[in-house]
Amino acid sequence: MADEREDILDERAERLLTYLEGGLEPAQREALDRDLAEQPDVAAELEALRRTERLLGELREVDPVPAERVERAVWLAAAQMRGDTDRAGGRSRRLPRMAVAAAIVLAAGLGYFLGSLRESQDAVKKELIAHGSRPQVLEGRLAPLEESEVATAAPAGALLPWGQAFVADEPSRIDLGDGTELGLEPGAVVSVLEPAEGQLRLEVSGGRWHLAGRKVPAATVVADGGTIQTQSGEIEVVGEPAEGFNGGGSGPVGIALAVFSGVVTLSNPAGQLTLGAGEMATATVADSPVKRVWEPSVQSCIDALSRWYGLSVFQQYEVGQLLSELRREQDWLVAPHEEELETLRERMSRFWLSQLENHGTNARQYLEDHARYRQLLNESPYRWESILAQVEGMLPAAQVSRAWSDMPERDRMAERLGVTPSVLRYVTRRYELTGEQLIRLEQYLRGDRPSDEALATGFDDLVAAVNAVVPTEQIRRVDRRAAQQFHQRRERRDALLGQLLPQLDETHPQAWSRQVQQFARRVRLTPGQTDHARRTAEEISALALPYYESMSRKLAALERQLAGETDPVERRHIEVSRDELTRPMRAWADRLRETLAQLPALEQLELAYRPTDRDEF
Amino acid sequence: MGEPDDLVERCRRGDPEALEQLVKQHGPVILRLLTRYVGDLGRAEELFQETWLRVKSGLKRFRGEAELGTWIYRIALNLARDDRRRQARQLDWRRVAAESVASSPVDRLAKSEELDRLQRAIDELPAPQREALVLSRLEGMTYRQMAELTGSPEGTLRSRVYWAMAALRRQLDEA
Repeated sequence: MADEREDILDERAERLLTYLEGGLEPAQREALDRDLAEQPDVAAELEALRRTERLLGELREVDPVPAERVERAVWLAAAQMRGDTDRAGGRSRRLPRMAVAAAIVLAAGLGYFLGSLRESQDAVKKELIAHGSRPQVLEGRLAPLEESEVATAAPAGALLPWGQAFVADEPSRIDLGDGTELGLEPGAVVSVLEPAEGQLRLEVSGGRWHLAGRKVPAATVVADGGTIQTQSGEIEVVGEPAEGFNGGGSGPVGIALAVFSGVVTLSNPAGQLTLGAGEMATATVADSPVKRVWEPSVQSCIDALSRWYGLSVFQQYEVGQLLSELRREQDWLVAPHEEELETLRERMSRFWLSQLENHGTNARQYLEDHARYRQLLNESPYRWESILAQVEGMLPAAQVSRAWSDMPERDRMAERLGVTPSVLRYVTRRYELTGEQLIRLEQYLRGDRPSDEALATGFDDLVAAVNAVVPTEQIRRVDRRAAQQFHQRRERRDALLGQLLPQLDETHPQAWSRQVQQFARRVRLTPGQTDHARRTAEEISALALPYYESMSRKLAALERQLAGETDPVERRHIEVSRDELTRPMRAWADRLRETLAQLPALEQLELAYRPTDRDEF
Repeated sequence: MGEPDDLVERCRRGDPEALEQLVKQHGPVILRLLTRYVGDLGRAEELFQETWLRVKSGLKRFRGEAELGTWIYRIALNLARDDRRRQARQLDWRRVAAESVASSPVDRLAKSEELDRLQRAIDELPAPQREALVLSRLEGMTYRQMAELTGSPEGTLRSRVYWAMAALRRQLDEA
């Protein structure tokens, strides 16, 4: 810890630091250069400091924050400062926070009519302005429509005037207050309508837009396909979705919508549908049924992937898009052979069950089924591992590795392979296997055997399979790192043991038990480790003490002799006799220390070695 | 860190343009400082917004005893210190180290293993040493600026930087 000593610099440290920082006078510098020539340890220290300084310089060059994140954070903070000044400017009337949150109404599609509430408009407008709820462009650029009274485009930072219409020139975001944002894709048109009844009203049409934020209020969306009522939550609305929004549909539809969070109800004269997070729906015209666009099989894939990787709703949406694209390209989810594959799987598993139960089986049927099964799989464009590879490519690496390091699916795989879950967990972690690689690993080990046949895989088989399916570079990289870590841990452990192991005095074995107890307390040995240490100390002391008692008088005599002897040859002679006499004691002490050295884990030693380093936290 | 007098005065009066200018002038450096200090960009962004909230609410009380920039840096630094303390109180120190490595900006941005080790070693330093080192060597502040910001004497800060570098050197040599 930073104790008082570390708040003080001795003369040598002061000179080195000043030298390093270029603060020495020429004469002082010359003097130090002379010292450096004479004192290699100081020179080495300075060189090491220089190396650290150079490295720090390199670290300084690494910008810890990507430019766009700086820009975003600064923008938000600037908007925050400006928003407050509106209030500070003397407009004291404010709407209660909840009242404003509940009052935001969004209207999408043409023909939305505001009603006859003109009388209260001015008061409401003032209240909304006072609350800072006038829509503000956060990002992008909004060009005025021809009929607009505004002459120039609204850049990021601009507060949008009431009663004007704009079209997004580029992907844009508008702050609606209270943490809610309206995102517009290029081509989307937004009209900022005169507010009424405490409601902020926007009309959005002609493109894709989304409503998002930490606390999105309830909203009403009117579109050709019907009305959307959101209780609260984040949504994306596609007025005229591109082909394939629903994985196969084409042409414009009245409304299509994805829900990121919260609950959304779509309704039109043909019916009503309630959607939760991760779901999408469409309605073509007002009298067509409102329907979910992801078919059950896509949704079940998303559900499975969400469970595996802990996908956020935004990621679920992205994955859904990917699956829809793959489905359209490969037609795999409604593959014509899906049913046949299922039948074959069932029949083959029945065959293996019969084999196990020693019933008569039709091996020929099995072989035919198996051949057909392999053929269909080979012909099918559907590859779960390739989907996983693409999904994993979309996700942060940490999320993927976290998912596979603690996943019931991997444990089920372990069961199928006939290894213990901890072995597969070890191999996964050791070789940093991705989900896709684990699946290929199982395929490699399984070969032609059916997927429900339990295997009996040995550890060596597992490692051999890893070497077969994992790129060599990955193996080399993890091996190199593991060797490095092992080496580092061993060196660190040896160094710490050197500091912490008790210096057992071979001339005082009666103190060994106490020293061992102190070691056990300091290193916080577990009860089992402590017991082992105590028993070993007792056993070895039981051997050492009788010997010590028998030789102690002789040893004392030799010590006295040594104290009175001045002749170096005689002294050496006495020392050799003393060493001979104490040799068994040293051997026992070494045995005890060796036992102690094997007990604690590196983490225990580190805790014992630096018990106060973190006091300040 | 100095501002023209009229900018300070306009900020205190609540002039929106002046406040925006203030954020744009100091924001990037403060965000980088917070990120280096807490070792996690997401957390730093939250502290960054919190910093400006405090600046906003405290502007009227700002008496001009220190420069406006220094005052803002001090708010950010205090928030970062509190955050580190809060995090560490909840976590075992080994986990703190492991997590700061996992989310370290260097981990994401720099490929160099050596820099990665250095970042880990910096995260392991005792708080006062880490703070002095970050301000001096990574943020490039003078000892005078640091003393003004932290309230510690320049000599103390110098020694903390030295001992921090010595500790880093030891850690890197061991690795």
